[in-house]
Formats: sequence, structure tokens, C-alpha cells
Amino acid sequence: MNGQGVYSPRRKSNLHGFAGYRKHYELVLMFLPVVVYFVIFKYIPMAGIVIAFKDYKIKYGMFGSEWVGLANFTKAFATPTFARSVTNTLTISGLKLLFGFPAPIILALMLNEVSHVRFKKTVQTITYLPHFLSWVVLAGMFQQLLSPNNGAVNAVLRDVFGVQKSIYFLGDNHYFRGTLVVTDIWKNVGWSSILYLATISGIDQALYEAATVDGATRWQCTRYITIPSLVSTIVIMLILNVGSIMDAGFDQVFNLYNSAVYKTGDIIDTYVYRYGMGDMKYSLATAVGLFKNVIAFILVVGTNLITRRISGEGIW
Amino acid sequence: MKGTRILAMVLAVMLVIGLVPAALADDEPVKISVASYMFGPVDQEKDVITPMVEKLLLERHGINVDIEVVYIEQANYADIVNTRLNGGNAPDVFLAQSATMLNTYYDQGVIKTWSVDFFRENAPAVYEFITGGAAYGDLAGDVEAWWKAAMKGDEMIVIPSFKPDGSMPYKTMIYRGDWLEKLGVTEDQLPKTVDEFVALMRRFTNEDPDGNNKADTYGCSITAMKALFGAYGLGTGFTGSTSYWVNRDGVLVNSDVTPEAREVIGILAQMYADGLIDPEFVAGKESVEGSYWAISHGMVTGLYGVSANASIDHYRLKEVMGDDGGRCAQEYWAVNGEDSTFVYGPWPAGPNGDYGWMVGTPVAVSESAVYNAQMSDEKLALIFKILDAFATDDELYMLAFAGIEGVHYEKNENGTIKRLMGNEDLNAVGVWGCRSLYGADRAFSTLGYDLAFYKDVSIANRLNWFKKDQYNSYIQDAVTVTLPSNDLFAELNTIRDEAWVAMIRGEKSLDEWDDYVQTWLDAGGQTLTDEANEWYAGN
Amino acid sequence: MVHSKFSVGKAIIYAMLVLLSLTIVIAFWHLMNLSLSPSHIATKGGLLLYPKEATLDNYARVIGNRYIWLGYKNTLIRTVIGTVFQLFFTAMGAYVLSKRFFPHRTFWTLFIVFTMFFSGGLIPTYLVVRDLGLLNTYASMILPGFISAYNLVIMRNFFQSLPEEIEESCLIDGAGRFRIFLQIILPLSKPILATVALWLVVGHWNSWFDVLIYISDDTKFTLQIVLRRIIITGSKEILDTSAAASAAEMESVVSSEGLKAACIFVTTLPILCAYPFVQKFFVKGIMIGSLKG
Repeated sequence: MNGQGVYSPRRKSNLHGFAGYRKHYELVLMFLPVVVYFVIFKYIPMAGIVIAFKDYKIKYGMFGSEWVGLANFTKAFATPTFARSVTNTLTISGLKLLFGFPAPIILALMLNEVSHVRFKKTVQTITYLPHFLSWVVLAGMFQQLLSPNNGAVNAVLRDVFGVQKSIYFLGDNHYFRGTLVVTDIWKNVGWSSILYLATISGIDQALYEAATVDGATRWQCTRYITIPSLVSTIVIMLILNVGSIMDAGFDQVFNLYNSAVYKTGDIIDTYVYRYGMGDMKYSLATAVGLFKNVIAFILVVGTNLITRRISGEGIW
Repeated sequence: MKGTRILAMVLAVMLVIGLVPAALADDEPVKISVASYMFGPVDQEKDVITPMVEKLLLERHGINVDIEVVYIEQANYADIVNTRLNGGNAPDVFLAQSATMLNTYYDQGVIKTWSVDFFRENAPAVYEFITGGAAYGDLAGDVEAWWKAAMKGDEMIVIPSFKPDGSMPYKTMIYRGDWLEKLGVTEDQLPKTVDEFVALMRRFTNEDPDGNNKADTYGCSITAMKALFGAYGLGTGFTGSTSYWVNRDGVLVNSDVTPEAREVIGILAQMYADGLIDPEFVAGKESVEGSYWAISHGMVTGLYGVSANASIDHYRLKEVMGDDGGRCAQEYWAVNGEDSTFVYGPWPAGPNGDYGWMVGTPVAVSESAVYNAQMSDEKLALIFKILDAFATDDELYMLAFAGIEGVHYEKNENGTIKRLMGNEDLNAVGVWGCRSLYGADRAFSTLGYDLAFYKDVSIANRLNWFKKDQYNSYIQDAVTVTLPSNDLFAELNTIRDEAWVAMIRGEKSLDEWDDYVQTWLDAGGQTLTDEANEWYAGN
Repeated sequence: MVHSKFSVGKAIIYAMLVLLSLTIVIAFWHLMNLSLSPSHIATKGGLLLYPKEATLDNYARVIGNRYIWLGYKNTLIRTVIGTVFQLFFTAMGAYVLSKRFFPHRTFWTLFIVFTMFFSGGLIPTYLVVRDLGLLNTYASMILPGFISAYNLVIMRNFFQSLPEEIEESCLIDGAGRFRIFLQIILPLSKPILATVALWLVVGHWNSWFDVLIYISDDTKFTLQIVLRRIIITGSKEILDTSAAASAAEMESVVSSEGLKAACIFVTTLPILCAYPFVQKFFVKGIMIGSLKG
């Protein structure tokens, strides 16, 4: 029903290689602007990656600066803190993927079950709001709410659940990562669900009508129509999310962490920030960025391979 | 291919940097672009000051220039300037925001250097003013040292710049007046030793100083805790990005691994165990992200009894200043009522009689002007001549710095000026535009400063300076930025902060101090210490 | 049971949705009250359930800024122009890549996805923008991020889910691919177009860093830049190792959390008002069947 199985007979032309371009000249023309854009604004600037292997000095320029081989990499990777920041990044991203990735899907499915249109619209509008608050603003709010001194959350835990000892969510290594995951979900769940809602509304309504006539329950409709229709979107989003696994959320962590939780909360980006603070460490920043992206790229290629095997879906 | 052409252009432009001297015609005014320390852009239509300054410069001093004031947002100043430096289209004059940045600019080869003679020749009055800085009493040593710091070899990279009120101690101990009153502590009885300090913190915590019958108060948080480091003769960058060096019998030692630091951490651990320190001391309640940094939210709202987060300028009294009082004072009164009081306290002294916090100096590296390496020597000479005109011509100076009297400012009785518009509006009409030819917030003269205020005995008595022979900001600046391995500081500070927080919170025992020191030395501390001493011996 | 209005499952769903919404409403209610309070109220901390010492000062300061309307205008320009063109070209590229018979489709997909991971960074992009003569133009706010690989992949995925048969019949009728794209595909793809349009609008609305880097002409500053200026003025600590506080900074008018909250409402309100129009496109499902006939 999602068209994946429909193969055009024209697919054959793919085998003939370049002859296909003449045949589909109209599509080629439509694609041309995209290629031109990516070449000019993405591929040409990519030459800048060379500074990861150079001691970049403005006065000599990108190409005139001295080659230093892998010195920038070894310099950054040599410290024990860096290794830890990689582990922390992967752990925090992993947790966000595990809990944060399904959250908007569940929200979208839940909203789909709501029959009161006004209620549904209201909830949708409200849940997407926190996306517009920056982490600087949210950090101020969460610091107050989660304070072990007079924070609202600890008050609820004490008065309602009888937890006697206040928890320092933002200053205790046992709770910090969990706090990051929960606050991140709170901020983004509504916004991320928009894509799934859009996909759900792209499902042919005739399918539901037919199913209902056959006596299917709401749950059966969800299980056998809605979820299968979402699979390809979920797969794509999963692969894209895996691609950002080396980014554990600089803005969030930077605004919420402190030296008490470096052990569990110091990620690659905060490490680099402290390392190169106020300095023009372009070479170092490029080197670390390259390291992150090579890993992310490998992971994405791997995930794509696996999902293709399992579901036949993938980005390419 | 299109790409190759752009690549070639990129290459060409980057090579061209430093080879294009501006043409200096006799009749045409010389264009000088200055990226100033500004709160908002100059409004071309409303700019009255810049043309007046240009006119005075031409008529009185024979300097024919066209000054373009470039606005660059302060929060991302370095990002923007650095990007433009890469693109070869940075302004002629911009600011090095910190000592580190200054060193980086020099290292990157993007700023101009010149000889002392060249400077003295073109700006004799400024040279005189700086050298005469010895007039600021015991800071003469710093002035001389700073001349060294402004140089790389025989060349100057920056002008040693003055800040007449910079001689103020940066941080001040501020106690809550109502708490002291409730506990019956008079100003004379404020803690003068570490023991007395800890005892008062205990009373703040246990004796319900806010009188609400709840155990909801603490002695202090991070800033006042740092007073103890001063008491043991140390500077500290705890939970920050700095670390301090102290001179022990001619050898530079890093504060963070001294036996005295261990003592301080021991005291703090005991205080923490006794509940005298806010568990949230690592973050949060002093300087709250998003609001004004100097306001100690914890102290102002009655969670702590003392804070050392702000300078005395932030807590100026109305009687002293004749205006609305300092920024933090206003906040304190707004929260606690118009009649509420706060008290400046002395720094508690340690076993050797040391006390205080790091001292600001009237000479400083941060926010100083640097000159684009692309400009010609003639243009630089012209800029120095403009500076000299500012230093000698009071009317010109006040015009550039404060605007037109009666329109943009009024003079207070004590010689300070009262601005009649908001900063952004002043920037819009061109006030401050030219000032950054020299550096943000640096003065060419002492005009407009109430030096008497800073030398007022009644205030000075409460502001105990960190012992100067122990700590020298020049050493600090120089060591931080010039050591070959200064990259390692970030890692070392992380190690320090983690270990100290764990020890204070009792998650680690103080017995593990030696392990911490060893980790610190292995992670580059030894290298830096060697380099620091090598550098120190060579100067 | 099945057809009754009430079921335990539904009750749980409603309860969870209400709870989530409630936490968000409280947060915004707090911010709203903060924006209506003087600065020292924020210093006191705690949750604000009603405005204390209510004042419109914060809003007056934001609205009173002489650049604010100019900022709105510039933001509107970049948002409208940017969104329309970016949406069109992204969709067109995505449509092409959704065709399995497009030659070297895997290569071209990778060609685009690759850029999500590898980029030269800010400086080389700046040099390209400068060499194309785009500094200080609206184009510099739109072109560097013109097509996002992310959006393109997601759109392509949606197009792939549309049944190919719809196009087949049109091709037989002699319609070209471009015409099919315009007249058949785009109308069928309203939900995804609305979603990506929303992302683009919000992206443009909130972006500021590109303006800081590429624009120095203050008549082209956008809303976010103006608001940043209002907020940032004075909130920066100049703490160098030399430890001298800046007098200019001491003198400066200082922002408060209330002012920041007011700025949040001034920026997000237009987007909030626009949202229901976008929502319209994907609250109700489409009927592919009816279009086919």
C-alpha cells in the first residue's frame, strides 16, 4: 500500500547507465538545481576539511598552512577525558535513541486515537510549544524545578511519594543522564510527532473504511493499518537519528551540566568547547568533527544495510 | 569548472592578506574602520558624534580621516571577527577579548606589530600617560611588567592600556544586614579569620537567621568559599576555566596542587558535612544563567548569608554614588525592601595572615585594541596620532567618550559623568564609536573617573587586597597564554574540579589527595610547571 | 464494548495527553507571568502562578526598540522567500530521487546524504558566500542552507509511498514528469509539504547565526538579532585572567529573565498563530482513492 512493491518496467534503463539520463532528460533537468546547489555550497567548502591535517594559520591560508599529519587527532585523543567523553556521548545518545525515539511515534499514535477533534488539535498545539524554548531558558526553569533545596519535583516526591531524601537531579551522577533524557523528550516529543502525524494523515482513508466494515476494532486498525504505514518513515527517521549519535545535544548538556557530573555528562562537544575556549582552534575542531562524522557515517551505512535486510527499507 | 574558480579565488584572497596597503592620498580622508565595544549599531542618519570628531581632528590636529564605526555583537564578537579575518575583510581595528585571544591573533599572524620607538614617536602623550601610571602607587611594578606583556620580542603587539578604576579588588564580601542583626553580629565582629568565618557560617545555618522557624538557610555558596583560598595565599579557578600560579621563594607553583589547597578542601569538606554549604554549590544559585551574572540569587533571596560574587561597584550605595546605587544593590533592595541593608565584610585571614581574592589591575590585556596586519605603517601611525589627540585634547576626548554635555551627559560633582541616554541610544548617535581605537573601556586620561571614590579610606579599609608579592596578575596573564603547552589547562582544570567537588561532597576521601596530585601532574601539570618556571627564569 | 465511547485504554491515553499538556501549559504560564513582572521577581525564583506587581515594562522595552519592526520585516522576507523556493526545489529533487528508474539513483542519494556528515565548516562556506558576492544580501540568509539533505530524504520517502499507477495513466495521456509533479504529486503530498514548510518557516524564523556572520548592514538585521541585542546587552561577563571588570559593562542596562520571557512571546506568537493553518493539512487524512478516479 505504500508503493514500495510497485516496480516500474522502466527500472531496466538503470542497467544501461548513462543512456538513462537522455531518456529521463526531464527528470535530469529537475534534479540539476539540487546538484548545482550541493556542489557549490557543500562540496566545494568540503575542501576545508584539509585543515584537520594541518596547523592552520590564517596568514598562510587553508592550502598554505603546514601539514601536520594526524597531530591534531592525537593531541585531542591523548587525554583520558576525551575517551570518557566519547563513552558518555554514546551512552547519552543511546539512551535518547532508546527512549526518545519511540516517544513521538507513541504520541502520534495516541493522538490518532483521539476522536474529539478540538481536544486533539489543542493537545497537538500545546505539545509542540516547548520546541520554541531555548535550552538557556529551559535550563533556568529546570534548575529551579529540580532543585534539592526547594524544587517542585522534590516537593512532590516528598509529599506524595514519601521520598525523604531530596534528589539532586542535576548534580548527582546517578540521575543526570536520566534527567537529560526526560527533559529532552519533554521538549521535543510534540515537535517530532508532527512528521508521524503527517504520515498518518497521508494514509488512504479508504483502508480504514474497508477495515471498519469488516468489523475491525480501533486497535486492530492501528496494528494492521497505521503502524505498517508508518514503518518506512520510522526506518528513515531511525537511520537519520543513528546518524546524529555522536551529537548528544551540546546546548542541552552545556546549559545543564556542572563539574559534579562531568563523569556521566561530559560529552565530546562540551569537552571540545572547554578545550578550545575563546581560541581559534580551527584545526582541532575540524579534526574532532571529522572523527565524529566518520563514526556517524559508518554507523549510518551499517544501519541502512541492516534495515534493508530486515524491512527492505533504507535511505539508499 | 565553477568550483575550481572559486577555489582559486579562495586561495588567491588568502595569499593576498597582508600585501595590500591602503592608498594614502593627501587630500582624501583616510578610511579607518573600527569594530568597537558597542551595545548597538551606529545609526548613520543620527550619528552626530563621529562627524564632529572627524572635524575636530582635521581642524585642530591636521588629521584627515573618515572613521567607520563597525558594530559587531558582543556575545559572538570573536566568532564574527575571526570569520572575517579568515575572509580577509576584517575591520582595521578590532578588540582582542582576552589575553588568550591576543596571543592567538599574534600567533595567527593577523595583527600588526611595531617598535616602542614608533609608538613613542607617533603618540608621545599616550606613551607618557602610560609610563606615568606609576602615579597609581604600589602598582608601579605592574605597569613595568605590563610593558613586557605587551611585547613580543622587541615589537609591541598591543598598547598597554589603562583603566583607572581597575585597581579595585574585583570581588567583595557582601553580608546580609538583616541576618547579622538577627544574630547580633556587628560590623566590627565580622569574621577576620578562617575560624571566625566558619563559626559564622555555622550560625547562619543553624540559628535561623531569617526567623521563619525553618532550617532553610546555608552559610554560603561557591564564591564565599573561595575566600578561604585567598586566606591560604592561593588564587583559584575552582569550577572555572582558569588556574593560578603563586610565587614560592622564586619558584612558580600551581595553586591547585599545593598542600595549602588540600587544607582548604579539608575545611570545605567539613563545612559541607556539617551542612553549612549549599549542596547546589556546584551550579545554580549564585550566578544564574540568563540573568545578570553578578547577582547572587542565593544571597539576595536569603538562602545564604554571604556572597563574594560581585565587585563593590555592583553594591555601590546611593550616598556614595549619588545615583541609583550599584546594579546588585538595586536588585537587593527590590527583593528585600528599600530599608534592607548589606554590609561589606573583610576577607578572612589564614594562618600566615594572607587574605583576599585576586586583584584587578589598572593595566589589562583583555578588550584591548589590535590592529589588522593588512594595514600600512602609515595608517597605523595615523591611528596613533589620533590617540595622541584624544589624550591631549580634553574636549575631543569627552566628545568621543561621552558625547555632548547637556545632551548626552552631565557632570556629577565628584567629576564622574551621568549619562542622559541608554547605552544603545548613545551608540546610535556615535558615542563610544572611536574609543576602541585604543581598547574597549580603556581611558586615555583620568577624566570622568572619580579616583577619590576608590581611594576613600572608609571603603578601602574593607577591601583587603591580596598580597601583591604572592600574586601578580602579569605572571598570571603571561603564564596562561604564552606557555607552549597551554592547551593542557582545560584538561587539568577538569581534573581539579572533579576531584575537589568529590572531596568536598565526601564522595572521595581527602586521603586521595596525593593520587589527585599525581593524576594532575601526569596529565600535563608537570610539563606546564616546568614550562612556567623556564619562562619565569627567562624573564 | 468496542463501540462504546469509553474504554480503559482510551481513558489512559486521554489522561497521559492531559498530563503532558498540563506540564507544558504550566511552564508557559510561568513564563508569561514572568514576562509581566519586574526583574526582582525572577530573582526570587519559584513558580509564578500569577503575575506579581504586574507591569508591561518588559514588553514596552521590546516593542519600543527602534529596530524591532525592521526586524520583523526582514525576518518575514527571508522566511517567505526562503520557504517557498526551498520547499519547491527540495520537493522537486526529492521527487526525482523517488523514481527507482532514475539512473544511478543510489549514487545520487549518497551524494546528498554524504553532506549531512562531512562539511568544511563555517570558514570555507563563508569564503564561498563572499566570493559569490552574497555578503549583506538576503540571499546569504537563504542560499547556504537552501536544500537540507534531511528534508529531501524525508520527502523522497513520502513520494515513494504514493502509488505509481497514478502517474502511469497521466504519462499515457502525454503529460511530462514536471507537469505530473506539479499537478498530481504536489497536491497529493500536502501533509508532508506542510510539515517541511513548517520546519523551514521555523528554521528561518529562529536562525540568527548566519545573519551575524553574513550581514553587517543593520537595515537587514532580523528579528532574532534585534531580540538577542536586547537580551544580551549587559548579560556578558568579561572575566579574563587579569580579572578587571569592565566599567562599560557595569554601566550597562541589564536584562532580566522577565525581558527574556517577553522576547519569547514576541517571537513565538506569530508562529503560534500560523500553526493552525499548517495543522489543517494533516489533521484530516487524504483520500487517494477519490483522486485516482
